[in-house]
Amino acid sequence: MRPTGIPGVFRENNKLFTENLESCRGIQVYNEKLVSINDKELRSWNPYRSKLAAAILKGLKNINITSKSEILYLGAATGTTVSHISDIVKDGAVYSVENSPVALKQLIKLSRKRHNIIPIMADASHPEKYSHIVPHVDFIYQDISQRNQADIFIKNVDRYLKKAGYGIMMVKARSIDVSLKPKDAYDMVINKLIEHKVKIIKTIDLAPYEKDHVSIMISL
Amino acid sequence: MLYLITKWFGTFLHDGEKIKKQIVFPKDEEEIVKRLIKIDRGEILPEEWDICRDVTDDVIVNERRLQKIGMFFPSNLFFKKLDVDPNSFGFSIDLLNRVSCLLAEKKTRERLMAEDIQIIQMVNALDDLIQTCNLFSERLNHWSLVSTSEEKISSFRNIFDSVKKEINRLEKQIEEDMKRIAPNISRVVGPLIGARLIALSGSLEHLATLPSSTIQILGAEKALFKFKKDGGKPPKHGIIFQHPLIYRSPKAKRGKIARKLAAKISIAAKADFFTKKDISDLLIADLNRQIGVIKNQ
Repeated sequence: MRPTGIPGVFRENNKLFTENLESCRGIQVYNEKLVSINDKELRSWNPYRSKLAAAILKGLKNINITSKSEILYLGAATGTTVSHISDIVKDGAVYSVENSPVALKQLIKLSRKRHNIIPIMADASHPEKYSHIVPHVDFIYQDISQRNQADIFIKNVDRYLKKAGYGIMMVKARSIDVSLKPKDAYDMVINKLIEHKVKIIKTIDLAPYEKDHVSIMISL
Repeated sequence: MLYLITKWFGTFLHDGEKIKKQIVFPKDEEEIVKRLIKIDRGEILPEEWDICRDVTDDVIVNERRLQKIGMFFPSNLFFKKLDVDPNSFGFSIDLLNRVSCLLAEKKTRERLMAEDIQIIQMVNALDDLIQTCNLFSERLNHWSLVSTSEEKISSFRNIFDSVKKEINRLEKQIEEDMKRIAPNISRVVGPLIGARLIALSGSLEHLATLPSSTIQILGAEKALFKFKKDGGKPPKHGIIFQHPLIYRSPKAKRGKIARKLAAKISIAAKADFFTKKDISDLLIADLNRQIGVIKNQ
């Protein structure tokens, strides 16, 4: 087991782990493996369940998140990835936006145990609706497979991302336009980001963990 | 000139350089949630009225709900820079965690109790039962062919009968509920197809915001994506095919009729969700006139 360069994230061969929060010792979120090493407890991070883990395994070396980061997470779903980010930003916060009440129910359960998760029931395409809760953040993470996800991302970046902030977008080619080749669908998204003066840092294909998906890392 | 900004922990007047006036909320999760719910409903908080009382400067706001208090400039650049730190007022992330859990619980409960969500569950249950019913009836047929005594299959037949009864009961329940929460849709395409349209779109709200061209092919997604990917012909109708206006019409006219019917469903859904007025008589009259024209072509 060795550090990855990302604080709180460890690696052994092709397996990733995050250091579990002190207050959550022994608690599994989605049946992941728990491993104790020295006085730490590590939770295995499944790249088939979490696109961020997939991106890291596919070569994303610096995710620009520290233990103090404040993160806006759009499309939190039931909180698989959110839980690992919550491990990483142990002295920060994950503002987790999700629109589906069924998914949110699980996320609330998770947030009751993890005090740095702020669950928010709202539609990410109306960022003004959660402005009373969300501050300016260091990082925006988006995983919503919707045709207009680039527009939604830009709206949120515009409103919430700090000047020196970073972000990551998970893009599923088929959600953008089924009739396009994946490469063309990604280009459409990337061009839209560039038009809005967002810098593209790195694009990573998530195969074999996800088919026809890329992660796009950006900064302002 | 003063900027009014309200966060979960208080409301503040900012002059562009520093906070001039502030009212901080009680450090109590129930109290804070009460205020956030009011904000969600578009109401103005008593604290927001109070903080602006006796203020002689112009007040600028970036929320529509605060229009009565100040001048509404949603894209004012200053608000982009403005952020108030909860820690400096003694509000911790732990408190925000408890607040947001409580608020989200209330919101999910409200949403899940909503009648359209209940109808969707009933539609899904109905479809499961219909599928089961078909399987059972096939099995019964086969079984009775090879069985000599009725005794052996009678208890199985009982289950089959109660499934059929349950289907009838569910259909009636859906019809009743639909007529209450979506009278316009129910009149225009019938309560059952209407319920299926709500189920396919996810909620009455979502159905009310869909373009009629989408409503026209709801339920024909497979055909639509096949068309988009491989070419060929696009589908002319989705679930609305089950309406006699379409399946009883000659093939060549079904597409046109589907378009008109979908257009009326779209208006009906908007009336059901937004104005909640019953305009179904008008819609039906208009639809019948349009279909008469198509049929005579």
